[in-house]
Amino acid sequence: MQAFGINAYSGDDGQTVIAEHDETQALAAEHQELYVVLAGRATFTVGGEEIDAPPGTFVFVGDPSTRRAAVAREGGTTVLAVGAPAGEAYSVGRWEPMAGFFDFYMRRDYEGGIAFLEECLRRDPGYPGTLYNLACAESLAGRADDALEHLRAAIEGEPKLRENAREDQDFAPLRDDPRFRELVR
Amino acid sequence: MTASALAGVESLRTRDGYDWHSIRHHFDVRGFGVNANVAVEPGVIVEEHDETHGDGGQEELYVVLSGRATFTLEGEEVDAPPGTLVFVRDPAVKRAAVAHEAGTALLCLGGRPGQPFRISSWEYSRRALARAEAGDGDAAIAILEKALAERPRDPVLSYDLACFESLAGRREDALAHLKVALEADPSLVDHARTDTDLDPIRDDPSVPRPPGDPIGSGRQ
Repeated sequence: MQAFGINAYSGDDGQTVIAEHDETQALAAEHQELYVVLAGRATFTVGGEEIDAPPGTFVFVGDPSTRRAAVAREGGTTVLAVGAPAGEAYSVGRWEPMAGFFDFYMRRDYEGGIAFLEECLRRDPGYPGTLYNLACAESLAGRADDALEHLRAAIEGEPKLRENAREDQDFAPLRDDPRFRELVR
Repeated sequence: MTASALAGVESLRTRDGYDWHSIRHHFDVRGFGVNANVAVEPGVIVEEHDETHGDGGQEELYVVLSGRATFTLEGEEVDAPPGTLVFVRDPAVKRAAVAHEAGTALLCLGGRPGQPFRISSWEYSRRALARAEAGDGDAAIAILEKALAERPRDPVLSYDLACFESLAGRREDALAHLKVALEADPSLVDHARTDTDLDPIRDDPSVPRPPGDPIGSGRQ
């Protein structure tokens, strides 16, 4: 599909189904987004406002700068997410091929995640999102030198990622490394 | 408003008998097209069409939210229980759907690959038609006048406005908008020949007449 973005996210009670984000942050595409609760129940937080969302609820976030997130309140909750920028042609997010990384990440299989992301980089060299996540996995795997190299490349590609890296707990193993402090300064 | 159930989105009854909820209009979505069709009783829930005409060129995705439907895509039938996603990439593919039970609800999404989303003229026309069928011709005209202000000389909007003006007795306005429509899209001439909405102004020589009924054939 090339005209708009569309994906579905599923989770059980208490699980995040839409990660907190806005559409102006690093690597975001300034999409308008429409969420549709297909099954279960979710609580959305949009611009600080909580919204109870049973099946059939439509939640629209037109302003890309609005923070939004959702948590499942029942088992089997499924949320459809549709997005595209207003006034511009949609293009497929470069993040899509690397979405599978988070399966490795959640299982703490960092070496598996590193191999997965290296393959993504071969297909789409230089994508800052892949470089950043690769740096995270390498940091957690104790591969400090590789992590710093890839984090540097990620920030060169998308300077907004410097701010993410400052607070990202995945880089806790690097906090005392002067090279890391220099990178995120 | 940020959130709504479908019941909170204005519902317009269509000629095929299903209810049309313009989610795009409700939220003023500008990034993609999104509407819902809800069956009042078993029957047509997506009129047969393709996307090669007018505002066409869209990829379309249908999501069955509830009930059950049968899609027909270029002659091939697809059974569609709740949760089914039906994607039609090729604008030339004829597509249609029939609901099997009242309350069947389809989410209909669309956009053009490689192009910024543009609100379809038919969306305005459909909202206007619903107003007109509810007896409020002035509201129908107001919807199309507002849309035309945003995209002057749009042939579909001009044509539909001419129809509503014709029915409302606004002869000169109707003739002017029909002229714009037919100049912008000559393919509308054939449609105009037999469109009964234009009968009130058919005696004007500029209004196309049915085949075999040329100007001066006796109807004048």
